[in-house]
Amino acid sequence: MRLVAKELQRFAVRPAARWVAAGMLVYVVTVVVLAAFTSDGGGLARTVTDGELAGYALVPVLFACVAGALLAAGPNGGTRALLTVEPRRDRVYRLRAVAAALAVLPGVAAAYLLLASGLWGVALVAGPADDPGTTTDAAGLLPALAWSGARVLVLAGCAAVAGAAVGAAVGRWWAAVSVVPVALLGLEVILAGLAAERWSPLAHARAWVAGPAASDAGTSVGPWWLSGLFLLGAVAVVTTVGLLAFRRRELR
Amino acid sequence: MPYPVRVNRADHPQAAAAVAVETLGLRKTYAGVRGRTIAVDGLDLLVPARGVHALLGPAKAGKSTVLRLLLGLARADAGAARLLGVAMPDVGRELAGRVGALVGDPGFLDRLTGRRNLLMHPAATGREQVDLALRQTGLADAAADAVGSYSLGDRRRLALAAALLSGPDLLIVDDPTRGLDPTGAREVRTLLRRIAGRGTTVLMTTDELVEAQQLADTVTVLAGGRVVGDGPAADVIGDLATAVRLRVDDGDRAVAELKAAGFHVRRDGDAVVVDGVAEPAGVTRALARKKLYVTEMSTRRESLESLVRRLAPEPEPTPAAPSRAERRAARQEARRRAARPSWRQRRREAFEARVAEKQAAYAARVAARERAAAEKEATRDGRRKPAQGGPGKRDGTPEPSPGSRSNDDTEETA
Repeated sequence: MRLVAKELQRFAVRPAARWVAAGMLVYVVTVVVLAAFTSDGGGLARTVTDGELAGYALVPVLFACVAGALLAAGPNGGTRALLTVEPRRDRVYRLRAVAAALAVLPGVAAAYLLLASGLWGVALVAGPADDPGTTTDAAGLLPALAWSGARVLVLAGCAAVAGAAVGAAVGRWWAAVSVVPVALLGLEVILAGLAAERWSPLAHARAWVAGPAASDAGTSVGPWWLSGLFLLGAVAVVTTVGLLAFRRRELR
Repeated sequence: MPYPVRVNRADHPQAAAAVAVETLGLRKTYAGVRGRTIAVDGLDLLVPARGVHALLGPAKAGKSTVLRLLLGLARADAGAARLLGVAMPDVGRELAGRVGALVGDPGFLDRLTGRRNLLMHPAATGREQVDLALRQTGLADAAADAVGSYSLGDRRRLALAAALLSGPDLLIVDDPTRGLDPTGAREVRTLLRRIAGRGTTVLMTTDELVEAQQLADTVTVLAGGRVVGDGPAADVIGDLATAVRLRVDDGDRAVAELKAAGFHVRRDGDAVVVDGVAEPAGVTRALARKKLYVTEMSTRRESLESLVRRLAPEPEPTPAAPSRAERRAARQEARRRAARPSWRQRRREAFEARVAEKQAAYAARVAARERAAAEKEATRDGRRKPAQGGPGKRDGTPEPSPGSRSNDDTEETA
């Protein structure tokens, strides 16, 4: 735990963490401003129920993935110092993965809360006077928000672990940061070309964060819990591959 | 299996005393576009506990690679290593906190103070420990300054402080004075000596002979990834005596006088070379006493290269045996060449054909010219004969050629 705490401390003061946080903030502000101009007055409750809010939260999840890669491979990462202290690579790898999963939670949680409160504010200001979604349904709204946020946080943690695996395997932060989005987008394009969207990680991520309500409405990838299992399996595969690569990789 | 053998103490009978690091047949190669490069080739290293041990060698001798192999930052192709009696790299928690290292960039954050950087180091457990390390490295006064404002020497000392945080029994340092000015280098050397004086074994690399002589108790000289000499620094390096080369008007007398004064003197052409001089001024003083004055003088201290040459006349490593892929590629290339001539061969053949053609044309021209000359000569002789003998020859008409004779025959027939 002491080493995890050290890792979290180091990551918190690194410039990379600030850049990721700034990116998330810019994204949240952009979404809220766009919602203010294009709002149809549906209210926050409908946004949560439809999975639209969780859909917006997928971008912070991608940021979490990049943050994980930067934590494992970024400048001032200090993997060498860790290995010097404790030469077992597996232990260092696990430490990095855990630290990455924990490190992204506050940022993604803050981004989600800002998104929710921003959209709620937009609905309050621009919505109809008798908006049922923001006022009368408050009792059902908060648990729905909490569950949706929890799913987003779990997904962000998994994404950060996968990002850390890629970073540890690649070793260069710029390569890792390039690989993460390029691999995701490339996979989407390939799956779309093969008409196999049901294997798309992004579709499963969308189904997972949208939750049971959207799942009941019917999605192309099946129930939300199955999407969760699929994503968990994908992260396990990426983490295992990253571990094997990190075991073999030489550190400069 | 990357580590098929284990270091056995029986292999090193001289290792009865405590040993900090020992390796047996350590080998490391790197694959590149030009084939495999041998960085470390069958390294048998023995670093006694306590004191400073220097891995000395020129660039590309494999010094840093050895340290990276010992620390588990790189994996050896073959061989075995032990750190403080623990086999590497399949190490558990036995070495945690017992080995400190400074290899490469320590990764400090420039915006933070030296103390804050150390507090965030994985080995730091408390403020007292950090302050102790800062005091040990002489950075207590600069602890509150941002690392970005540190000089290179201070950064190096801060990195040493980080390596000392856990109170290691073995400190591994890669080229501690690289890039430092003389003052910074002297401070770091003094610090390393002090650390060794407290009982920590220091294993360092250097490519400076003087540094190894000043700092190290024992030394291992590497060249081409191999050990070319090891032992106490005084025995391996010697006293780094200077050779003095000078010119004197009366060289023979100077040689005799210097020999009489106890110097090792030899002639090198017009110059006089005095070997093993501790104080070059002593040579000129000895000559001046005999009214011999030096017109030209240069001193030369033994270099690392000459030390390596002295220890190993041929330190260059043998080229690596070609890999299976390289052998296959060579076979394919040979087969391809045998099957199809190369463009060079084709060009040569075309050239030779053109030369042969020209030679044939030239020979034909020469033959035609000779034939024409012979015909001309024959015609001239034919005209000359009638003029000398028969009536035909009297009027100077040449002897008719066979052709003309034939023409005549034709006319007669007609």
